[in-house]
Amino acid sequence: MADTVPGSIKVALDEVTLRYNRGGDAGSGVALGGVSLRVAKGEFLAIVGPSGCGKSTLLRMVAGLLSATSGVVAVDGVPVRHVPSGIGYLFQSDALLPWKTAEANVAIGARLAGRSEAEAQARALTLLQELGVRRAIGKHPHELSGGMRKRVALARTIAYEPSLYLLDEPFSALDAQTRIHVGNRFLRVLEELGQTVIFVTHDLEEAIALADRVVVMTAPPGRIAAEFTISISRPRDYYESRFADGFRDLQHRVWEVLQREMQGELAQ
Amino acid sequence: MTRRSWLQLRAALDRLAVVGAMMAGWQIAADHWLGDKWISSPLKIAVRIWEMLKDGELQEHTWQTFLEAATGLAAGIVLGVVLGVLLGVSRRLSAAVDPVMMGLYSLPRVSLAPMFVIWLGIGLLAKAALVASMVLFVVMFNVREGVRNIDRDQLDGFRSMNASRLMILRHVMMPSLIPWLLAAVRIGIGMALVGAVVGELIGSSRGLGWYVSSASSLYDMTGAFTALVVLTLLAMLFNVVLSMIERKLLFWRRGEDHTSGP
Repeated sequence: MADTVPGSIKVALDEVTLRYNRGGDAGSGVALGGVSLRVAKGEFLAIVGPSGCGKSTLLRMVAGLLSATSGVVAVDGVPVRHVPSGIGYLFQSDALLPWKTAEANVAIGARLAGRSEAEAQARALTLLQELGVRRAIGKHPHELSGGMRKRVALARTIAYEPSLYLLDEPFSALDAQTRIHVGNRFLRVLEELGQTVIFVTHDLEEAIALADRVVVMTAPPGRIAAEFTISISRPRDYYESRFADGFRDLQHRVWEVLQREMQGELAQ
Repeated sequence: MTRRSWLQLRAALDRLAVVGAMMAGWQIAADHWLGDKWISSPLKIAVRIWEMLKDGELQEHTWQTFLEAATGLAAGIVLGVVLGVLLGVSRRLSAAVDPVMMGLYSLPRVSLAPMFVIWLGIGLLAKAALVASMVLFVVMFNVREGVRNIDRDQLDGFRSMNASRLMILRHVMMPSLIPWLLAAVRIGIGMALVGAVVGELIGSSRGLGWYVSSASSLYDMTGAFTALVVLTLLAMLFNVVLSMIERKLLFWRRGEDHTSGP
């Protein structure tokens, strides 16, 4: 693995834990119970796990939006204290500003990447066309379908020119057909960009279909239960790669781990 | 005619019909039942409005009350937004001041009117202060709630792209607060007129509130009702302007009721 060459590690987590302490009845607890993980530059990593295992929390820590109780999170070898530069975060909700048009939303990403206003606007229009949502131009988010909004959100993230993409269940709100269509777009664009991706999902087939490596987390407090290297060749297809050699076998093995963890969750 | 414009026309006609029916009912009650000695009548009021318009009396009183209400409303909104944002951002501060704020909020602010007269005299300032003290709390509580309800993903989206605080304030926080603010202003309009009129009842020599009380002390029912009608028109005007602002600013809230706020 790439661990041996320090320069090729994009994200490193060492024994990261998180305790939460909410006031009142919610009490306190452990969300993450010691996670160590290396993500290589250019790697596409998927994280799956039972709900509440801290997958999203992990992403928020990498983005510097949440700090660990103990342990170290490092991006490009630098411990994360504030938000690191070059983070492209995509949320479960599209997080677009409803009072701005699609292109204005996308232009914000380019502006925050330091582009001039004129450059940002031109870039926004180009990106929306490239992602096949030319029809979104001039419209506000409420006038767009869920799948279109996802692609506008991706365009905004790409406009920010990140070197690390953090995707938190980006397709979970889409219906099955739209999910395949939008998933394919995402996959093609992310493969072309070749940047590091950490992809959180509860859908293990999706995880195997997209990622170079799948990490399965335990029931809360989340730790890493197992990891699987996926050797399906690229470029891949969001849907077709499910029929690649060895997919069923992998799916079976990942599911065995996941099922065990979910039983633990149900038994509690 | 499109279906949409027909529906708009029908709604306008419905509203006219309601006003017409009320006027007719009032006129009939005045002529044949209660007598215009007690409730005046729409015709008498119309004549009075015309007379008062001619000698400029109506404009003077209306302008005075409008000024008191508008100044106080504006001051209450500004103070309320500032305090509401502070309380929304800091849970600790909010928890610390909450009991006192709720106490002051539940205190009938009208009872402060004599104090404002002592401190600020019987001019515009005392009335505006009374109005502001009434509007302030509604705006403050609504804005606080608005701050707490800002979409976390929208905020985190900006934070993860290293946006400055100023940019987050301008692009995310302020626009998110507008629906909450406008809902508070709609309630505030009514309060502002109450504050202005009560202020005039306590100590004044001008304004529609003063006119109501001085006319009724002379058993001039037409005078009193004329001022009340003009007050109602003033309230409607405030609301129409607010609705126009809402339509302009809240176009992005599809399928939600634009008139009642969050």
